[in-house]
Amino acid sequence: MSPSRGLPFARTISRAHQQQFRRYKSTFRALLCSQIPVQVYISRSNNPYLNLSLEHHLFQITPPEITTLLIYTNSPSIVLGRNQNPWVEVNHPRLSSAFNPPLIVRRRSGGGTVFHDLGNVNYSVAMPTSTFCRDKHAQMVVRALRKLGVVGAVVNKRHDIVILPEGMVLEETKLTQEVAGTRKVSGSAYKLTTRRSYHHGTMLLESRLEDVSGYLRSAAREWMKARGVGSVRSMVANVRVEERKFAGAVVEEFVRMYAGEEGVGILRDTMASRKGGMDEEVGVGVCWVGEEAGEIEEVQKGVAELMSLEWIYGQTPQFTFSLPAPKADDEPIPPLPQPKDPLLRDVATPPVLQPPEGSELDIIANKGIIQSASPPLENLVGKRFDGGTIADELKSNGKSSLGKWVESVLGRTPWSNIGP
Amino acid sequence: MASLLRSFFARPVFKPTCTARVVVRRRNFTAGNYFLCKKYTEDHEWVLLSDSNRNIATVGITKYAQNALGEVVFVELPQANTEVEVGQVIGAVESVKSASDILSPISGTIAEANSKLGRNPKLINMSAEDDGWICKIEVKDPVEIEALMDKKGYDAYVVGMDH
Repeated sequence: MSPSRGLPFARTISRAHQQQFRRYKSTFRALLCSQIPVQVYISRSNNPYLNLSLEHHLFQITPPEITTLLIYTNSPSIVLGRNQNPWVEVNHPRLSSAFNPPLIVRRRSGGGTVFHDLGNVNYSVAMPTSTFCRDKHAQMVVRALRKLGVVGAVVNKRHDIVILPEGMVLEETKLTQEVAGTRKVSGSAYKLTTRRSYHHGTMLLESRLEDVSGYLRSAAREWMKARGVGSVRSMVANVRVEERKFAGAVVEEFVRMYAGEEGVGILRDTMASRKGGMDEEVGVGVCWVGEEAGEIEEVQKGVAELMSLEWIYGQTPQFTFSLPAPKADDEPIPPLPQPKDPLLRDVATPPVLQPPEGSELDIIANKGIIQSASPPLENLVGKRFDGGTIADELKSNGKSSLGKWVESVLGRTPWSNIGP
Repeated sequence: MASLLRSFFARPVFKPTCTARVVVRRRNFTAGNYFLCKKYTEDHEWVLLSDSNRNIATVGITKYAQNALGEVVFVELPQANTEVEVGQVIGAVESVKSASDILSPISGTIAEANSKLGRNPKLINMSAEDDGWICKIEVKDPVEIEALMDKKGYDAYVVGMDH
């Protein structure tokens, strides 16, 4: 008879849970369907696929004249730009040997690869394209940082937010010339359509930067000649501001910009109660949103698309992978030097990477599918590009050491396990 | 009676004029130079029917769009033989950390993509409305092109957007 004792208790828990759930859900849904011109969404989820899909959904469904801000933090993930190459940007062998590897994500906006973890906060502003400007919201974040005591924050010519060298302070929020010794704390990336656009960025607060270095920068990149977009390496730094304070300051600066001091007053009350709410008169709405965002059909579809290997690997622009010439007697190939720590390098790498001299075998892939391969690898044509697949083909041609080398620089990816 | 007679006589007189009008318009529609003018969409794409083959239209993005995007670093082109609908994403452009989709201005089948543009994305900045074309589409319904804006209409639309 134990169920009769257990059930009512279980029911009360679930009801309380449901009520809480419904409250968030309703504020979220109500704000999403409203015509309130200034909308703030704060995500409680750390799922990068969900957060990016919610971001895309906000940008797609909110009426054109509305401006929204979404704040989110993702669990450890390597986030590629829309037109980048995962085999160039990610060190796959390192990833597969890691105990708890970060996720690989391809976002829908342009730009280079960034690393997300629980020590950074992402801000994303969706706006009508008629008011779009690449620096406007980076400058908004700079104002927020300065109010938090990060006085050296400024937007540079690449639309990134950097910290000026110690002792240097500027009144303007935008640099008009290059300054040596700056450290990047946040990048910028954009998605543009005729009616709506968004600008998002990742602010490094307390990121575990030392964990990142091994995962970014592939050992194979020197052997890749890739179309699409490369990443520009910059000196980075954490701003060491508490996550909640940073999010609060950005939200406040955003509301000040679009709804004035009156809006900020309403915002402060709402943020203090942490309940979310809307004021139709002043035109400001704030809500918190968690996993329930995934109940929206379009968000669900977005998550499925972003998680699909067809998007992560199959969206890769055309590239050529050039292998060193195989040794006639299958003599072992010396291992590649490990890539240097990218965080300590302040060198911009060109997007087109030249293969080393003396390479003989070329494999050309487009959208992750091998289009052509030098003999004796013709069998690879039509297959998915993957270190393991190429290594196996080399091994079956008696080129085991070259195969081992390929696998050691490209690694095996899940992309090889499915499909043609 | 008078009205009956009037309508009886009126009919043969009226009918030929009506047919003649349609025929004249049709001839203009296909043989005139009306269609050889570029047409424009609200999403800043242009469409131009080919001189030699009226079933093929060349599609690209406008000078205005190119200028708004800035330096183009990558263009994703559509695959030949893909069927497309109006408004469907047929490609993408990346410029200054920004990704933008290219939407198909018409329905049809992709006949060819500009492979030169694939190799050299800057062609869009240099010649958006000429060498920097995106793809050629086999037209399904010419009426779709007719409904688009002409140069004058597009220019006025762009002026309106900047205000």
